[in-house]
Amino acid sequence: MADAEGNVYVYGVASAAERARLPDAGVAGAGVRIVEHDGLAALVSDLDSGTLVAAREVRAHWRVIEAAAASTTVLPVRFATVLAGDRAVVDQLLEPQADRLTELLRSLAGRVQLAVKGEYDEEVLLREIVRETPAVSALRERVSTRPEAASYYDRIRLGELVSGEIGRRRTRDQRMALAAFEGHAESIVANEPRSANGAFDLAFLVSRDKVDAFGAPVRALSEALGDRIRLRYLGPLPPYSFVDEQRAQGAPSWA
Amino acid sequence: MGLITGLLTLPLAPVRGTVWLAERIQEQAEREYYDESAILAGLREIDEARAAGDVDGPELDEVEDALIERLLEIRRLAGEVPDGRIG
Amino acid sequence: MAVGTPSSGYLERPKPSGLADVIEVILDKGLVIDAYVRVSLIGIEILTIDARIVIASVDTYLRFAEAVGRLNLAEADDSQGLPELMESMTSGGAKSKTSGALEAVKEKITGGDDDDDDGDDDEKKTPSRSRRSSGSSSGSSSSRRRKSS
Repeated sequence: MADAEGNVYVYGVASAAERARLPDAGVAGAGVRIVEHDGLAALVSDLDSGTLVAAREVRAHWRVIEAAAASTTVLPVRFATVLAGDRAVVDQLLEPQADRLTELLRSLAGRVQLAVKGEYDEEVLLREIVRETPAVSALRERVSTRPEAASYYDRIRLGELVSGEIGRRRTRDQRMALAAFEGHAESIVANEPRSANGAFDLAFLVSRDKVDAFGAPVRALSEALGDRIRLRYLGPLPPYSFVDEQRAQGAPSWA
Repeated sequence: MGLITGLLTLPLAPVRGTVWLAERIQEQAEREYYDESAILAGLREIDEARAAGDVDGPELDEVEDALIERLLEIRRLAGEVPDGRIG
Repeated sequence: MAVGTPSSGYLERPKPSGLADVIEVILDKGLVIDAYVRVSLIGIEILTIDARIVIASVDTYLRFAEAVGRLNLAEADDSQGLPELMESMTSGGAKSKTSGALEAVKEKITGGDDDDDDGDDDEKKTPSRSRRSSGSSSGSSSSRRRKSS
């Protein structure tokens, strides 16, 4: 029921000229429809009630984006974005951002996002640190020969050194990973890994016809990293990381 | 070494007592609770289980929902996700 | 080749995206509209620990020290302390190398989990929650998005 007064959940923005494929149901089981303005089409659902069951709606949200992105370029909107009706969709999103959204749709057309994430093998990492850092190795020796109570501050210092070494390696490995993909992507976003043993988390903007060729640098990097870092290579995704205003075109940006 | 054993072997500095201990337990609980790598690993397991057709159904959904909820909770506490009522 | 390579072709094509793979971008990326109406996100009732994300602290350093101390450098594989360290740091995530992990995950969430410290969550909202001041001087761990590095 197209209720121009009620709240609408916004999934993303596509070009109105292209007919985005819409799934039957989106969040809260509501149908998915379009709000058009100035050549832009916002993908929305009407919300009956004021609450959403979060986890379920993440899945529904993804299904809508996935279906639409399969047929056309979609600029995804952040999860859980609700506007106060169709009028608001125009007044707060499509109209004020018309130029930027149009330009984004143009520059992202035919492009997808590929992700390469690296995770440390903890044991290999720690061994390497002990082996390659004399200060760590020496302190480890010292700590092992003293009773725990006496070595409290030494242990803190040891852990601190190890923590610093991990940080240094992370920086170095991020650089190495970025270098491996130079020239293979139109744009790159490097995220801070959010997990404890994350080494790097990279998002690449690649045109669809270059996706197959992208596998070569991924494999090369994997071999160069050996058993220190395990790679995960994911995609293609809608260009989630590339709709951000602050991002510099062409240069890797640290998100 | 388990958490409790680990805590008990730490030397007690002058002012430490049950409050300090409780805080360390709290930290540990938080660290585990908020460690995203565990949550994401769990979600990946579920994806794989579904893909392999091993397990399915509402139980799996329930676990998945709970894991997603934790991710949202982390972000909510960090102010990264909207939280409030409509209107 | 990287650890865990099932076949030489495992990195040839990007892996199609399961929910676990996309959830981070769904939650963290995408267009942000300033004037959105706030939505009440109702979740499943789970224990809420009212505190900020914990970052590196003295405790973390002690854990690293312990893990490093337990490394058996004489042998190439399987040092005892690290699986334990990973276990306690990732609450069952490290156990999840086999299908038994789903059980572990369920257990953690639905009952009898040891990371739901029921006795603590009510009183422990002390101001001393700011972990940043507790000696976390390591440069790589000062970002609030990063866990104990």
